[in-house]
Amino acid sequence: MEQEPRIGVYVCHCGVNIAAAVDVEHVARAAAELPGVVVARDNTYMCSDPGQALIKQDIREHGLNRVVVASCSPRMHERTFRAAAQQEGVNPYQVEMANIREQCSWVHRDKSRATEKAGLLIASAVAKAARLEPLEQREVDVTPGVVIIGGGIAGMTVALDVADTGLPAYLVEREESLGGRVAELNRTFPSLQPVSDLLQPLIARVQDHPNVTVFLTSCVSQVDGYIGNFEVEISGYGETGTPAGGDPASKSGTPRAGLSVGSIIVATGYDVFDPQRTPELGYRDYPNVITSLEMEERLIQGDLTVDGRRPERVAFVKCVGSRDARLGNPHCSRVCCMYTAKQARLVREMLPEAEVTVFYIDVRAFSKGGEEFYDETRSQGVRYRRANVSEIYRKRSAPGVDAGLAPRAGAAPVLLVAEDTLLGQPIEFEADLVVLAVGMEPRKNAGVIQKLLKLPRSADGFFLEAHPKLRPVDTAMDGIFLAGCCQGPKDIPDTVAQAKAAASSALIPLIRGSVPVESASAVVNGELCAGCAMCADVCPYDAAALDDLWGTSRINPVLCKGCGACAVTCPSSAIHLQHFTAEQVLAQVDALVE
Amino acid sequence: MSDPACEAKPACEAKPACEAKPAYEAKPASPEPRFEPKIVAFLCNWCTYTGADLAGTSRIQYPPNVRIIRLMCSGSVDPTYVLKPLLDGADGVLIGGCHPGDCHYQSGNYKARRRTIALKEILRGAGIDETRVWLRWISASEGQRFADTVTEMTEFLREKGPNPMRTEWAV
Amino acid sequence: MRSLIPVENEDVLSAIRGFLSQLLKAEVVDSVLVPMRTPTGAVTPALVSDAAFLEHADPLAPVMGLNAAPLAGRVSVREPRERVGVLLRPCELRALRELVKLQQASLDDLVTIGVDCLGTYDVSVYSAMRDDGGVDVTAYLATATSGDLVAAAGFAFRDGCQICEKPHAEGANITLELFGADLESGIPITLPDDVAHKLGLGAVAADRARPQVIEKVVAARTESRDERFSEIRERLDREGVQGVLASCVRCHNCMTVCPVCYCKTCLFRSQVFEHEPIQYANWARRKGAYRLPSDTMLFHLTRLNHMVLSCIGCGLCSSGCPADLPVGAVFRVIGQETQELFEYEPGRDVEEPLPLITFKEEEWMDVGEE
Repeated sequence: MEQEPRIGVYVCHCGVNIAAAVDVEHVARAAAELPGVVVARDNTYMCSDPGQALIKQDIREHGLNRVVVASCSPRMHERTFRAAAQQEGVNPYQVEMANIREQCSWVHRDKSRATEKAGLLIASAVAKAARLEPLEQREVDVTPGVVIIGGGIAGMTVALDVADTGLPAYLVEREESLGGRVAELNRTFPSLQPVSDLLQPLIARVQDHPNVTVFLTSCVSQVDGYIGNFEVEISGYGETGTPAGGDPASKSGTPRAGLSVGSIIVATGYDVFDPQRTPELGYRDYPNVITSLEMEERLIQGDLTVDGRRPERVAFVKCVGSRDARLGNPHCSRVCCMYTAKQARLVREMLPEAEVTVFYIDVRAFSKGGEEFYDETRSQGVRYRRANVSEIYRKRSAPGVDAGLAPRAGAAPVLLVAEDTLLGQPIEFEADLVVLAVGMEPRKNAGVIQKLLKLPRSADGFFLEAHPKLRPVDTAMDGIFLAGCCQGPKDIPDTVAQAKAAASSALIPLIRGSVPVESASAVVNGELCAGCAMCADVCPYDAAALDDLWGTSRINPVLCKGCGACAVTCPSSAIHLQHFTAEQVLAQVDALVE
Repeated sequence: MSDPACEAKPACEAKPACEAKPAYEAKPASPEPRFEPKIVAFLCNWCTYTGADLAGTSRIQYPPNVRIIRLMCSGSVDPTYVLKPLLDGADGVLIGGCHPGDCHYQSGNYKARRRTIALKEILRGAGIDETRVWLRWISASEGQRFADTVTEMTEFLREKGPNPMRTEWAV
Repeated sequence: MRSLIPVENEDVLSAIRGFLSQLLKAEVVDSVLVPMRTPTGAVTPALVSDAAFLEHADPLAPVMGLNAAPLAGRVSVREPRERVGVLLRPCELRALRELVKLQQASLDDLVTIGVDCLGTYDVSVYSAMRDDGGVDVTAYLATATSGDLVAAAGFAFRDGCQICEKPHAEGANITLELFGADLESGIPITLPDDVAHKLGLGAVAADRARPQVIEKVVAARTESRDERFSEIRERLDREGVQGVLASCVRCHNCMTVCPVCYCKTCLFRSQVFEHEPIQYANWARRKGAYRLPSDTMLFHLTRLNHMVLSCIGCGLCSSGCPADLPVGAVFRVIGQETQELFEYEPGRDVEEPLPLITFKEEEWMDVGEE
């Protein structure tokens, strides 16, 4: 491996972007004197074809085995120069960049000092380059198949997309039937299509698909492995010893299956806010104060009566348990505005004589056709009132009267106390039926999945995507993807869209047949390792573990993401992070302190 | 020191920016050359290094006293990386990582926080000026914060004077 | 259960030997790790499986050349192994617990026997005392009863012992409670009921002065400690660690004898610190002069970083230092400050996680946000 360094240094002018603030000829001349440097040049645009050709030609003519490019950020062009060097047989990991544009010429105007700094950054890059070791681009084979946790609309959508490619999909649902939350709904917005029309065919397709295996009343109890090669254990859910809703990771359920798959999709959905946490709204105190989900049930039954009486005044209260930091839910649940408009519309249809009022903070009708639906709802006589409802209670007429009314007590109207935020006035409003538009919350047992799969969650408690914009269905764990409301509140079309995206992403490695893994991983020198296992304690990916036979640490290069936490933790320096070894870093330090 | 390079090189004179000096250089030129501290910065690849790049693409000016070494994570800053430059005479060491909760590797910055706190306490205990070591969370979007941090640190170290270790041979 | 080991003819040592021998015979343990006296009078730990050899056991010899915790680790760290009784001083017990956290020892098949420590001498001092006519064990043991832990006239305890405020054995499976005991009538002992049963020891509700004597000992030692700490702190603030440890020859003895320094090969003994010849020249040019051997302070500062949170204060580093440097006191001063920061007490409890491998999201929230 010991390879006498033969380094070529290329200082880029970047037009005048660098050359205006850095004396590029000067730093190139200085670089030529650095240990290991065989050739040093400057060029107008190193990233251009002629610039790259210059590097390739020097590699051939001077037998370079390392390349240093002093130009822009490695985030910009490292890939470019690695590829160029690789074409001439130089290992791409023996290319180093000195960032003299973003971190020098663009931020310093004093040319002499910028030039001096550029010289140091190049010396640092050269010092590192001289010590860079060749690394292999690594790939691992994958096991085809996807485990999908959650048999709601997201999970079923994923299962079908996976199964339609011909690969096995394993759908794990803790309840006795598929359908999830959507099965509890009456009609969709804005089309007012009965939910059963879209759900039943979907469930039927899932159940009939030869490539889909459905596990009902089941949960995932153990997950090992890594992208492309997960081992997933499925156990019974809610069996003796596993309290329903309790910890499905507890070992009490009987293992039902051990599956080998390449990807995992989390589609565990959401919990509905329990308005008992806002006792001022009178939920459970008065039978005519109900949640929106209970309203869905009544709409399915087609029965809106309260103790046998048709309500004359129906009120909807929005944002219950959403947009409220006090309750730990500062987020908007994104569906309540639309389902409230839908429910209000349906109430108008079923009770044409009733007065329907919606109390709202804001109306957010952003989904496709949403604003139109909202307009239509208002035009059909649903009154929208911008008001914060602070309390719901029932007036006591006279002592004992309530008791006298007992059989019909539930029908006695309640009073909504609110502040009209447009008028800035307190108001009171009497209603026979109040619907609390409850929001979405993370699953109460999301922590179980979090632990099993080592998934981070964001501050709101939902699972955290790898990048909010560019990788919205990926997670911090390669090979594990998110679909639906487990990642954050969504309506049905958004859920299905994310599910299809997650299915596509999950299928990429499976169809490709192999996955590239981080090449710069941590490596243990077994001779130095004393087996203290602190590396295993600090590894966020469970990549480090003590070898049963030798008692020394071993790092699974497939799991390792190269963060280097283990290397720092090891006092014996028995672990080094490739491409960022202590020797390399300290050589850089030495060059910079001069 | 005025800006000899600016006067000497036509390439630079072409840039009007040379006249409009940033605030940190606004002090009148003194006959004594100012003390220019050397700062070694270890920046995590995902947040602070990218934030420093953003300062660049936004052309936010800051003193050239900082020299950056890119690491993958603030959690991989070995105490030796801090000790070595300090003992060799660097005037300051800056460790930059993602804000708590934002670590690309889930928890590297939390570990870095403990490690740096321990290191600084040990330095303080050992009679070595630990205020020369700064830990800062700077995200990829905080180019301005990066520039401000470097400016502030440079001023702080300039005030403090050279690291005595620079001339102390017996360490 | 609290009991009493009977002492005959005021011979405390024989009583302890007898007790250890019973542990073997009753098969409570398969062997015992205990300080033994060699034929030439030196004292060294040995693993004894034949009770007959316990006649050489000398756990009361007031000398400490090494910390036996790593040895307890050696005989316990992995299977297959036997059940071993290990007789340890309090600082050795603490070191053992740190080693358990570091997976260098296992308590699974160990029976720890803690003994209150009355103070120990460096090996060289102990040799001189032997040359001088030997150690008066009766007088030494009398200090346990009174709690006035004084060294023999003309001699001084080890540096580490002089400032040790935790000389009382805590948390062992079996504890020989010397402090405050009337040793001539018996050695107070706390031990598990089943062990007592096997050994035929019954519960003895003797009146115990131990808590009061411990309080007295701790108070006196804390006072000496604080005095020493402020002296060292003042020197560190004035001269820096580079001044206090200026005479270091980088022999690495402090690391070698440190019971918690568990690396197989110290980084500072590896190639990492064998620099290229030209490198030394470069460094010399940079500062004008460059101290050799190189990286002396880096060695101490790195060892502080690696070890100080786990420093249990046995002070063997000072004992081992050929330049007579106060390495142990420096470690203890900085250790105390750093350990307090993490509310960590090394050697207290094997369940207490090492501070640098754990974290809380919500701590030091202001750090880094300035």
